Amino acid sequence: MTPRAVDVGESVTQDAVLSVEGLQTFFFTEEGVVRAVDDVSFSVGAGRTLGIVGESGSGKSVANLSVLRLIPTPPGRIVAGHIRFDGHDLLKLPEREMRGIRGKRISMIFQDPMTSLNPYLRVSRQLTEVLEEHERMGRREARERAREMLAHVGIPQPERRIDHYPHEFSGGMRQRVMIAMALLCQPQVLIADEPTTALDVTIQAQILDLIRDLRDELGTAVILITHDLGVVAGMAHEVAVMYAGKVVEQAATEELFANPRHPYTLGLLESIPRLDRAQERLQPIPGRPPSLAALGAGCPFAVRCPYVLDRCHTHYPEFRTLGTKHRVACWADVSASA
Amino acid sequence: MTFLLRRVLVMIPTMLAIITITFFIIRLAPGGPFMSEREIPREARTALNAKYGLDEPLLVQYGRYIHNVVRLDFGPSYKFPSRAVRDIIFESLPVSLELGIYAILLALLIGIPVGSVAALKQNTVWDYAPMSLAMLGVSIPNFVLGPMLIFLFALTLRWLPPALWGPPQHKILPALTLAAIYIAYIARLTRGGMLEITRADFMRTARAKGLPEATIVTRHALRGGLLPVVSFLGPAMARAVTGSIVVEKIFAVPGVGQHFVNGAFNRDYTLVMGVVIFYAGFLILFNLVVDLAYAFLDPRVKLE
Repeated sequence: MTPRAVDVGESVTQDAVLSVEGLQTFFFTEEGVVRAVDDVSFSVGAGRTLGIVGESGSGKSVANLSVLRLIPTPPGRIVAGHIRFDGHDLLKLPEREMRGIRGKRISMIFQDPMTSLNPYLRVSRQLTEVLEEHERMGRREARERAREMLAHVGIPQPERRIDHYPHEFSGGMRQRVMIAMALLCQPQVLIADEPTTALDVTIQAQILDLIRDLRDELGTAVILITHDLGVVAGMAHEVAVMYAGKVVEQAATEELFANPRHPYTLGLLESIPRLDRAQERLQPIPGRPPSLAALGAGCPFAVRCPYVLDRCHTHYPEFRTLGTKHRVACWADVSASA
Repeated sequence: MTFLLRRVLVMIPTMLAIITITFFIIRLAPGGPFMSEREIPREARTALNAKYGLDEPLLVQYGRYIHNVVRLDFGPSYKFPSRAVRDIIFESLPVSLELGIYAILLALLIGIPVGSVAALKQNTVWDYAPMSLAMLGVSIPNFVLGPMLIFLFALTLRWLPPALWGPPQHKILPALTLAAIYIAYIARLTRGGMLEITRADFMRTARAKGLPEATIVTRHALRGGLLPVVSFLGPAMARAVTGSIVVEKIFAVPGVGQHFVNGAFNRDYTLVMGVVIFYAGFLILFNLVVDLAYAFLDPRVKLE
């Protein structure tokens, strides 16, 4: 073994392939400024998986689209922050160089493989164009490589299937095609935005297994965006919980599940069905997420929070660090009461 | 193949309905082919009516007409008895066809790029300016636009001849006049189609793949974005070929349109019927071509 820093937390930040620091992405709409992502930081190391959990509208997708600078501008704009990757700040890169990173070194797969693949083009074209663009491959070579990749992600009869159109595949197979497409150039980072949400439960597990296997095989860093804590539990080394555009709690996965410290995380955990507890009813979080265009100075969760304190309404809490990699943004000192 | 066969078979009742309706409607119009300002002697008129069977009951005439049409015999023109309707149409059809094709080509050549740019630069001057112009194009009737173009390019600037059909420079003004409305429509349809596509998830995927913007637009967006244009193209083509009546009149172009107008004025039943049948045939044919093109462009469309 090569000598390494002993402290786990430190080594992760040092080895981070991608780190996002103080990211702010706002949307300037007629209703006002929507602070979709507000001072968000996270990082992910090679071969590791970071889960980002939150309800729809919590900013998890926008944060990751910001990483690839795919925010529709206008109305969206990345207002502040750094996205460090390979010694560069991606937010400062010229568009031309950014294009060389998208799909080659940082890839993304999306929620609905039905609409994310172009229905008018054969799968072969959609795969080979990536290789032609980034690897300067000829048609024949690119096709061969694409066929291998389809076989690799478990598509039967790839020689025949490669010439099919997306609608001729099932949902799960389509997501496999998306994954093949994303991994063609062996990227260092794979961002998977709700990759299983549109799929049947049985297929979900297969797709997650596939992502995990490929991650371990290729040493890819994976950012897994989901609203499903169950998905995160089996996949992620670390979890960041997002609420109303902010990361409210972040910890190693086991730590987060065993010792959740933010009222929102607690609420999330109590609202999923568990087999190991006799429970009559699930405990939902009361109320709705706030409008991101009308956020006050306080904690956006305050109105729904059972542990709310006076200052919660007026001051947003700083992160408190608990242990090596556990941090939480909450004034109240809450923990799961067993 | 079964699709094609079925579509061709469906053409038969459609055409029959069109022929029937036109046949009876035109007979409803007062007057007849042998009533003109110049008084024809009663005996002569009776003899003419008898010769062409116009004195027989309408249903008998109808039956005989259908009988002839099936064998592609559209009869002689009542106004120009020495000439068969078929010959008159075949003689003038190429001119109308040529004019129509130029107009549509012009419309595609201008409309698609303008509409695409408007969509990609939505809510900028690149969107507003051409779209306002397109609105104008839709609103100005061609009997206004034609004379305006003649006044500007022929009479004032003297760049182009004002009328008649001849060498290429003669074809520019009528083609442009006829094209104006199609340019406007196609630009608007392209813009709408492209706007819808740019919001599609697969466009985000294409960007996430790091493709250059030009590739994203031409390979990923245009194909789906142009589907509305394609479905408009069938009726547009048929209308440009057949609906150039006014333009042909303004520029004295010897196309089918003049025969349609004159035929209707003269109660030249057979000529009008012949032109209507050709027009209808064109319309149906181009719609069929569009359906085939649709299946070619969108792999999800199955022709069954």
